Formats: sequence, structure tokens, C-alpha cells
Amino acid sequence: MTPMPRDWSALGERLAAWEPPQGAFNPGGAWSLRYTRHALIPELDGTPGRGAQSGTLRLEQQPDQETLQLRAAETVTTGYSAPTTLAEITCTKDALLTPRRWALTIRWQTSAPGKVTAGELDQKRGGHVEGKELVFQATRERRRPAPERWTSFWSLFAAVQRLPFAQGSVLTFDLFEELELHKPGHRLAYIGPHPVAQGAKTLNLHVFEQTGHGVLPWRWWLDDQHRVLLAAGGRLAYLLESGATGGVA
Amino acid sequence: MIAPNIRRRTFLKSGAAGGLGLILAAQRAPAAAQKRPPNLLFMHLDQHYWEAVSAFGCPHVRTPSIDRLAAQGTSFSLSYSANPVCCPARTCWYTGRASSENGVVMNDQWPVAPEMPDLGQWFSARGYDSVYAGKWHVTGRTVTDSFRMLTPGSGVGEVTDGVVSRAAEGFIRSRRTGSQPFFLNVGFLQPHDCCYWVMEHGDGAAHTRLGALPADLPPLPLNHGYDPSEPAALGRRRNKREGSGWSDDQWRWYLWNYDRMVEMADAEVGRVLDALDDSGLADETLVVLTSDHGDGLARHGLTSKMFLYDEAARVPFIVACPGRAQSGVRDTRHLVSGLDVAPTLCDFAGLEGLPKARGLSLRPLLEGRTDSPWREFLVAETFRTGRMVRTPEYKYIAYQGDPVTQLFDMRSDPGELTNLAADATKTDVVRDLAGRLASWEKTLDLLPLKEPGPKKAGKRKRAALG
Repeated sequence: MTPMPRDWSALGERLAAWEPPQGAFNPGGAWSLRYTRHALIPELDGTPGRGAQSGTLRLEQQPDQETLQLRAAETVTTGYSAPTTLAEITCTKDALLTPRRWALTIRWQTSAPGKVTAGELDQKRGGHVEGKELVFQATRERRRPAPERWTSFWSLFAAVQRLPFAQGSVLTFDLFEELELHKPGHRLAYIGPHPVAQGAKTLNLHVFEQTGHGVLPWRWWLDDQHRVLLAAGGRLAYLLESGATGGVA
Repeated sequence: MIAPNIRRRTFLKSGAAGGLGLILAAQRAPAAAQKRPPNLLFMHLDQHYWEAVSAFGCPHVRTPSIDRLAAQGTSFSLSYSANPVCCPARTCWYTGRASSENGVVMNDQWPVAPEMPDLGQWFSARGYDSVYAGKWHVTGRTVTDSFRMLTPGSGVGEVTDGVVSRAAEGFIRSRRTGSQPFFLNVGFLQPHDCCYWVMEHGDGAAHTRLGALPADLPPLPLNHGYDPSEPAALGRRRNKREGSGWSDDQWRWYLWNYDRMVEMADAEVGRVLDALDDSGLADETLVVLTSDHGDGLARHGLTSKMFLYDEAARVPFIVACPGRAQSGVRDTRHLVSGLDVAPTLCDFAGLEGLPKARGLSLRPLLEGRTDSPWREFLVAETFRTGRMVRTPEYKYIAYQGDPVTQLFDMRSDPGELTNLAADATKTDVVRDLAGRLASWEKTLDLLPLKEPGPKKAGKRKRAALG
């Protein structure tokens, strides 16, 4: 089988006005990056669809002496609902940017005809690492043994940007999506450089691939500044906003 | 599912059919009368074949949440969709009536009979807070006419199943014990995204992968091959399916991806179950988990659904209700149908059943009264012409107008590879099952179907996806 990933072409017309980012970027410094979230739905004949937008993700990283603060604001739009998850995560400065402590606020925007009472679905969540346990706080506290290596999906955006572009550049970990859904056995590895035609230009990108339980394979497409331009799984993609500059907060 | 005149006969026969095939650490439900009706949580997956669950022995998939629910309740192994495609299967759940009666015989083109009540209307009118999150897909009826809607689905499980589970858990966590009972419906879409995967890989290229294929690809199923003399409807379906030109590795790569989509669904199920536990409502809530239909999964060289082989028609069906039903039971004997959802929910809620509901309440089985009379056969439909009769021993499949019928000995040939319909030693079996099918059809109030109008592009896509 010839490898022919469709991550970019699957975005269809969404790329027509998209410009790659400009300027230098320091993955280890303070930065803010905004992504649009897209549904990748092929046409019946298998050709790429139109990459309909299904929300946004804003990530901010602020390193300090001992830890790294990561903030994520992810909104998913679906019909008349648009929940937004605000995550504030204190990460250890290790390769996986492993969360130490986190707080989640989930707010719903909804319109008729949902008949949902204002605030009915809103939630606040939290959690932290305590010894060798992960402690999850919702309406009740849950504890579970901490995997030896683990991280959150949002942390991966920051962690993958710190990896060298070299064969053998690999992370292995258990994934906690939304700091809640446990998906073990993940491996994220450098695949190599991969040119992508974008209009009249060719982007010389670098690709990491991630596999594990509970997800379809993700590809992380980074520019030569180590900035994530596109993260694409099976039917879902996060595309860096058009024309982003530098990424400095 | 079975008309009263047939039921008496079959009940008598099934009463001598033996005990549960397998009981795992079963705990009897308390016999004490319950004080208030339970909350009802009906979670459905989409395109989930019954066997793709680690608790049921599948070594290629990890489903701790479904396993957990199975440990808390009863899992039915002989569980069949009433009509293995999305709209028909769902309409059977919600109306309790067979497709030939409710009118929804295929996706999107035929609407449900407007006068036929659905579970949302039924429970709302009887004191339940009836709410819905996710995929609905009952043709001709707007979900908000029947339920208080929390959040809709999107057609892409990977994009919005997380939103659906978040809405469900938000709803659950906002409830208090002892308050108005709720009927929460949660329609997850995974692993249905496999339909997109098939479309995307129609030409056999890897496409969604850059690196080497994983080392842990599942093996091809033993029934990957098929009998070329099978009914014409299946041959036509196979020839137009995108997977018809796939290599063995591409098929296995498909199975690997399907398993990951099942795991996505499992994670979202876990989020809802956690909320139920955390809120203290688990002990007063009946949980039902099933799927509208299965998937071809390379068996008989097929993907998708809309046919009556087990891979498309057989679905998980788990019911748990701590304190009111047994836990840790795996029932491998009783035949159950998607039509049993409505009678079961109504029974536990203490309500009269939906008018002319064709299924049976699972309550006697769930309460451990396994000597209760039970059906001896069930029928599933597909489109307007396909019918399946399943007994514990046999499966008989007939497509109206097709001279080829199928008979499989499900005990010696669970992969449905050897068609015994023309076997002279099975003439009586075929006659008996054809007779049961005819009797069953006579009990239905068949709804005359008009020819549908031409489908719009969007509907064509939905119909193809199911």
C-alpha cells in the first residue's frame, strides 16, 4: 500500500484562503496558538469533503521556574449546542508535560429548540496527582493509580513541539483525553519530513504519528519552527489559524 | 415480536429448553417490591457488532466501560436488531413496532406512521422527564417533538460523541436522588465512523497512515469467504461495496480501525456511567445499552449492514439495574430483539406498554426467573423484502422474489458458511421456519408503503451511510 495521507486535502476548500504561519517560534517559551476544529467527511465516492468547521481550540503556554502553565479553551459546535471546555493545567517540565494539577470549567451555549435550562449542563471539574494516584474531582472524588507515563491531549500540542526531528524521537504514554478519558498504550513517533503542496507553495513539514487505544492514528504536522500546523486524526483535524505570526503570547 | 396465538405455543416449548448457557457470578435480584419507578438510561451505539467487546472474549479491543456494565447486569448473546440499518432499527426501538408496521423500512425515504406514539411521548405523558442527547434518526419525526433535547448529534462520531457524553453527564450530575424520574436517551455514533473509513479507502490505498501498519492487526475472520450462490441482494451489495477489491492486509487494517472506534464509544459510555455512580443515582436507574445494528467486519467479504448475516444483525444488549435485576449474568440462551427495548422500559417503569408493541419485556430474565416462558424464535427484517427467522438452532433467510433461500445450523456453523436450504434432510426445518415467518407476518398490521420520491443529495449520503 502506498502511503498517501489525506490530512491536508481532506480540508478541501478550507485551505483556499489559508496561509501558513510566519516568523520565529520558540516551543519552550510563552506562546498562544489558535486552531480551528474540522470534521473530515469524505464524499460517497471517497474523495475529500469540505472540511466543515466544528469548533475552535485556543492554547496558551506560560513556563515558569518549576512548572509550565497550559491553558486550553476548546469549543465544539454541533447544531444548536456549543459547549466550551476551559482547562487550566499545571504541567511538570518533562517530555510529556505531564499534568500535576488541573481545573476544568465546562459551559454550554445552547439555543432553541433544546429546551435546556440555562446552566443545567454546566460543570466544574478538577484533579491532581497525589503520590502514585490520580485524583479526579467532580460531584464525587475518584482515585486511580497513575500510569508510569501519561499526559493529556492538550499537553501533546505543546509536547510534540519540543521533540527533535529525528528518527527515534518517540514518546510512549497513556492518554487522558479531556483529562478524563483513559486511553492506554500510546506511541508518538517521528515519521520524517513530508512536503505538502499548498497553492503555489510547497510546505516542507515534519510529521509525527500517534497510535494507541481509543483513537484513530493522529498525524502531527509541524513546520521547521516546530510549530504544530495541523493535527489530524480519523475524522477530526485541528488547523492553525491562517497567517499566524510567531505564536508569541 | 410474537403474536399471542403463537406465543402460547412457543412459551410452552421454550419452557423445556434448558437453563442459561452461562451464568457468571450471578447475583439474584432482591424480591422486595420497589418503592418508586427507576430512572431509565437508554444508551445506544451505532454499528457495534455484539462480539466487539472485551468482556465477551474479543482480544483485539479494549472496552472497560461496557465490560463494567456487563458485570453489573445481564448481557444477552443472542440479541438481534429488528432491522439492521439505522432508521429502521431505531424506529423499532422507539415505537415497539416492526418495520413493516411503523413504515420505516429503509433510511430516510419512508417516514414513521404519524399516529404511532414513541417512547419519548409515552414517558413524557406519564411523569418522566424525557430527555435526549445525540443521534436520533427516526425518519419523519423531529426528536424535539418527543423529548427535551440536550444536544444533537452531528453525523460524525469522532467530532461530537464527546459532546453527547458531556451533555448526558451534565444532566445526570445536575439531578438529585428521589426527584422526578428521568428517561435519558444517549445516542452515540461510534463505531459508525467506519462507514467513512470504507468510503475513504475504496481504492485500497492506506491513505490515513504514513508509517508501517501496526503489528497487532486482527486476523481475517474464518468466514471471510462466502458462497457465490447466495441471494442476489447480497451479491449486488458486495459488488458495490468499496472493500471488494481490498487486499487481506487492507481488510485487517479496516478491522484494526473499527476496534479503535469501538474503544472511542466505550470511553464515552464510561463517562456517563461515572456520572451515574458519582451522583448516587446508579441504584435507582435502569441502564440499557445496545446498538442499532452491527457491521460486516470482513465476514462474508462484506462491510456495513442492511443484510441478515450475524455480523450485521447481531448486537450487544446489556441491561443493568442494581437492586432490581441480576448482575454478572451472561445469557446465551434467550433470543432477544430490538423490539424488546420498549416493553422492558415500560415494564420496569410500571407503565402500560406502547400500543401493540411486538416485543417482550426482559424483566423476568433480568430478575432471574429463567424458567419463565420465552419466545422460541424471532424475526428480523431488512428493507421491504428480506426476512430472517432465528431459533436457538437455526437461521432461515428469505428475500421476497429471490428463489435462493438460506438455512444455517447456527450451532455447528456459526459463521453461516454452509447453506442447508437445499439439503434434503432439512426440508422439514425449512418448511417449519417458513411457516413461522408466515404466521408472524399475519399478526402484523402492515402499513402500505408508497414509493418514495427521489432522494436529495444529502439524503443519498445519509441513506448510504445508515
